[in-house]
Amino acid sequence: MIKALIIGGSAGSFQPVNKILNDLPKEINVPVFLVLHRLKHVRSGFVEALSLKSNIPIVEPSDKQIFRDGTAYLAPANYHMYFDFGNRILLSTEEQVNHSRPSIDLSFMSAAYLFEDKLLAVILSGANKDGVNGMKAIHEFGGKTIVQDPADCQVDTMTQGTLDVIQPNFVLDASKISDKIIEILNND
Amino acid sequence: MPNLFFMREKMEFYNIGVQDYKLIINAIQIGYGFDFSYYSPIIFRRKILDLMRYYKIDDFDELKFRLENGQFDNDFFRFFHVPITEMFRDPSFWRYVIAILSNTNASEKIRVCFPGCVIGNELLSFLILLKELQMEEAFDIVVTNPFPMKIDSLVMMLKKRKFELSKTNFERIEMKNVDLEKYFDRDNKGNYIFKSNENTNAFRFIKHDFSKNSLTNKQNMIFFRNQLLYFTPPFEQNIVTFMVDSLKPKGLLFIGTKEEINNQENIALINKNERIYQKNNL
Repeated sequence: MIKALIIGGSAGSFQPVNKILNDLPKEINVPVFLVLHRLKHVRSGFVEALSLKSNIPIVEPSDKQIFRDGTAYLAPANYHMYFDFGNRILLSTEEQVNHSRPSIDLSFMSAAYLFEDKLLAVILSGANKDGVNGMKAIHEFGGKTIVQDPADCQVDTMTQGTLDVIQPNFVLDASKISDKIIEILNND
Repeated sequence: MPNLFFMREKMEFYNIGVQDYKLIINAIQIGYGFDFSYYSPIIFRRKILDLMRYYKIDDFDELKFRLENGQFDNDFFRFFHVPITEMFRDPSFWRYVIAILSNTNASEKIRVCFPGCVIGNELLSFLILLKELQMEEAFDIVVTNPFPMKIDSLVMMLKKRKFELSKTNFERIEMKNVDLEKYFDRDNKGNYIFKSNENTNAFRFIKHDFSKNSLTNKQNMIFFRNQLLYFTPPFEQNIVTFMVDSLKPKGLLFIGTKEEINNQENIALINKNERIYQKNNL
């Protein structure tokens, strides 16, 4: 049974994320974690932009905040985001990883460790390889993985990099990802 | 200091089991008399692995033996410092600080404390502001260090990329006609080194652990931004209590924009966006 959904993306991922949030039902029974590369110094506006088309509430968590089903948690600008026992979100200001803070790799690895095979992960368009090691970790822990088809990405470095190291469960156009997520959550 | 960053991309972060984790903490306590059980386990695990890679140790038994017998230089505590990223992080916060400073008209020196400061991005940002505002003489600054290592100077080195980020932050503070580069020398690798004459005598180091007690001299301001992140909740509560006790009435405590203080009676949140708390006028 899937216990969490985590989505990572960078350049070119805003539209696909928006579509997923638009399509997810508000009664979704898992927490959703969004790890998206963003400008470090812009602390406001992103939640509001994503919320416009989302059926579920989106929040930027504070450190040690408890996560709950049916809410999306957006990694705050200039913080790494981790997940801990007791359903807590932890933040850190450690060094950038892959020139990124938040780093998709760090969040994905942390989620892989916590949720093991009960995690569903999606990697979207992006211009660097942050997220590749994280997807590998999730794959190795037995989680389910969806990769946006590189041919469908605005920038395919992140997704192609992932396909170079793992064989994911699904490779899909952005337009089909949310249906697959819902199908997995309903049938798993 | 080693560049710790490149070591952080490995899956092995997560391979320290609970039992080994406890034994390592115990070994540090035996060898160095310092308790890391308050440290957030997720982050502490990664720092231990950074340490092992730096010293080329590939099994926990060897690590534990070397820790228990104090075989590392005390400098290894630097592996466990709390990173504060770049200088002038959150420019809107620093604009608020400038506004506070500009309205300061104290008859006695203003006491400011930087707890647990090992690297110095935050402290040196503050020193530069004071210099630019020509207010250095008005402040008495103490830097506390909880670790059993002696620190008598800060060597601040920024790589080019981090310097540029700091410079961009600084420009967003809107300090007119000030070039941050004048505070730095360049080394032969292009790194930016904070000029030592800019911080000599500007502050004092004291050995103090906020998890154990408060400061005797009460402070007007305590800078503790993004450090609560690294502690477990019970310890966090403890350390905040001692910090609040170390403030003068109406003194200010600065924490990170994603940190929160709960269950403290003597302090009020006066700026939600920048997470600035003020001690009550008791």
